[in-house]
Amino acid sequence: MKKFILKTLVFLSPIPLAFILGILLPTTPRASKSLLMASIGKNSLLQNTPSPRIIFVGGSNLCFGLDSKTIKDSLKLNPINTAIHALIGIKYMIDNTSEYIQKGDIVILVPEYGHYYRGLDAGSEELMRTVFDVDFMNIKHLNLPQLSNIVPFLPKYILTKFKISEYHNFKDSDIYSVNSFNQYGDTYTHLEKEQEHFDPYSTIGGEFNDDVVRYFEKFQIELNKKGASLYVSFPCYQEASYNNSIIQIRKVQEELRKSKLQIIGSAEKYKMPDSLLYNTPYHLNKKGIEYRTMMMIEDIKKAQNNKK
Amino acid sequence: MLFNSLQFAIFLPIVFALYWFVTNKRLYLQNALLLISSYFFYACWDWRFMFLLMFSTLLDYFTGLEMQHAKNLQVKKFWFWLSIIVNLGFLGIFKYYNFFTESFASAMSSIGWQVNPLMIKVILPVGISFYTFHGLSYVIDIYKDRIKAEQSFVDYAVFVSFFPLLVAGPIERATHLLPQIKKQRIFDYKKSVDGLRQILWGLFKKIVIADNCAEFANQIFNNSTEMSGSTLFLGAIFFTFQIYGDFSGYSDIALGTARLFGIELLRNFSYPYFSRDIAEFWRRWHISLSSWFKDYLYIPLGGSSGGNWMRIRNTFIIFIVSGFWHGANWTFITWGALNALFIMPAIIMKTNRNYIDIVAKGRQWPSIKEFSQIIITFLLTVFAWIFFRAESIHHATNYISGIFSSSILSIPQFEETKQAYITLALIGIFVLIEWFGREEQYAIAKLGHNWKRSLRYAFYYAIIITIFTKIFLFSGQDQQFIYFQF
Repeated sequence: MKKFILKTLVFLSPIPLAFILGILLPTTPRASKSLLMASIGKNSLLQNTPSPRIIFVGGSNLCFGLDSKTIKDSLKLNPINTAIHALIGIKYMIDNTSEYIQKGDIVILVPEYGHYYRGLDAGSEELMRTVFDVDFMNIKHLNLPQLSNIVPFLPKYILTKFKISEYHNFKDSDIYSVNSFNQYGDTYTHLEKEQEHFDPYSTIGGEFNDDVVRYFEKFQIELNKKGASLYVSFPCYQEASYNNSIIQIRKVQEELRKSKLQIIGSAEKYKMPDSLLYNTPYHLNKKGIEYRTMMMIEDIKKAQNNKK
Repeated sequence: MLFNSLQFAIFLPIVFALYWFVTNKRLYLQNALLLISSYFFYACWDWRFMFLLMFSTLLDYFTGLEMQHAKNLQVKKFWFWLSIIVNLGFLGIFKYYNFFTESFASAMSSIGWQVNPLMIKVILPVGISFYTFHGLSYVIDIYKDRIKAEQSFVDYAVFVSFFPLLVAGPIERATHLLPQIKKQRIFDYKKSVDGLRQILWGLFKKIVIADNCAEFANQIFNNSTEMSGSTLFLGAIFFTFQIYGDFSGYSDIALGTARLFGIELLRNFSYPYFSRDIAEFWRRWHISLSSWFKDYLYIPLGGSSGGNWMRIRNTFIIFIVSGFWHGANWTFITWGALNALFIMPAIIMKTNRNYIDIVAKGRQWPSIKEFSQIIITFLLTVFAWIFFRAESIHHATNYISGIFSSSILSIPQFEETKQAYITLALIGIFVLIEWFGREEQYAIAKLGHNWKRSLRYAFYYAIIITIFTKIFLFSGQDQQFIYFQF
């Protein structure tokens, strides 16, 4: 019996050892070019951009949907677009930004609709890679449920470390790359590209998560304590996808209006026709970015005037 | 709890450790542990169905005792028929009720009568066909005085619900399994290593072969109207290997797991795709079910004792019932009937027992004649599997006519061409390994025994790496074992 157990353990031991080695191996060349790596640069912007600042927090609808230069010129504020990928999770985005907030900062939080219907602690490959590929110290932003929710993504991650294609002859994406962002954090490499085919998103699944709104309120209190302010807005979203989830989106709007948060714009306003989209229901093309940016400026100005 | 899940990877070592370290040498404790673990294993699917399993177990246990103690034949008959009716009644309600009512309504509407039958919305309890057949064989054997009723409820309950075989067989016999449950089990190093090896091979068949094939089979069968003849043909081939890898992989994991607990289960597969005729195929495919039908249906119907006509009739009956056992759909019944047709020439000419031994025994390669026989038999099974996999008879016939179109000679088209060719290459490697291991209970049982240990270990690691790669790099969702639905 002992011999059996011992030999089985010895036989199987290379598996956990390979797992440990996979974690310890440095980020692969392919992963170091990924979009997620942009968070290093974006954190640096959060740290070094001088006041007065306007900080955009949200999913890729923001990095593929804003012209920060126009915002800068129009609002006379220094913009920082922190957005990278919605699946990193809204909680992580808030927690990561929170640490860099300075007095006088204006934070525009633009969650995607799915964020309101997911658990705050949901895990994803993107969140896991933000820790294991980008900077292990990012782990400080994860609570225990988030940590346990990223564990299922680890085996795949570890195996990719042993894939030759991660090291040689990989094709770097020019759209989803660390190099796709300008000095404010907006993606720009897709601006001159043709629109790509994509299908509308189906109805958002799951139940509305009240905790998300409560978490935003907590964030607002924290920002106010630091002398900063928070506005919550709505993502640009393809009209067909919007119609598929109209009940869920109305619920979001209704719950936000009921909360203590300062809301700018409306879901309806940011509904986009296909002609303004690039490659997903959340990503805008050049014309769409111009249009959305103008609407965003208008909403921010209105909110600031109301505040005065 | 699936065999290919993380939960099972945690569950199995815990039960194994408790079994050999805590309850070791105390048979009643070992059996109690097996029973609790088996109920836990079953409850992981849906705890509510555990009550059905418990009820069925209690019914057959008490029926067995009552039959044994019956003062006359009438009392014995009463208990016997009670058990048969209740067991088949449950199976009928959960599995066949909607099929019969729908078929009835559709038959009525064809003669102009509109009937709105009452349909029931229940999920089919996982493994019901398997544990019902366990119970039935036990009750029939007692009725026929082949065995004595089991006195210990725990031992009987382990026989019905032993977790490796609970949800998808093999369908055990009381004469084979109960004596093992009642006997002191002693840890056997060689058997346990063999068990682990068989589990590994089963996981490979399921995760690497079946799940890879499933992706393409599903893609092709679900969009069959848009596919070329050659793609449809490959779709049928993919399904042929999917169902074999899936079900025989499950059986390998079940047998290997049981061996870890010192229990030998009935063999369920014996390289069916190397059969030289359909009769041989059916001696090698789902052996425990085929032999169940032979012993409890074919022989009671008269078997082959009444001449050719009776042989033909009984063969058709067992194949159609076997098809129906797989599911309440005309596609399964047609699949059964087709197999009956395929086997018929051998039944009429009494050549159905021509091939008992494995093909090319003692030789490395088959003769040209054997090879041609294998290919023809394989193609016949591929043809029949189309009905098994199709959503309806209409779907199956359209699929087949799609194969026999002019586009049969075109280059097959897949959504992921590279992955499809990798899967075909994996099937090729798999067939070769199975071929060279065909004289053993499972293909890698003796493979590499003469190799250096490092080489042998490298082979096992290659299997493990392939499994992990499939799970973590290429898989979408966990694929259920097909036979759970039966």
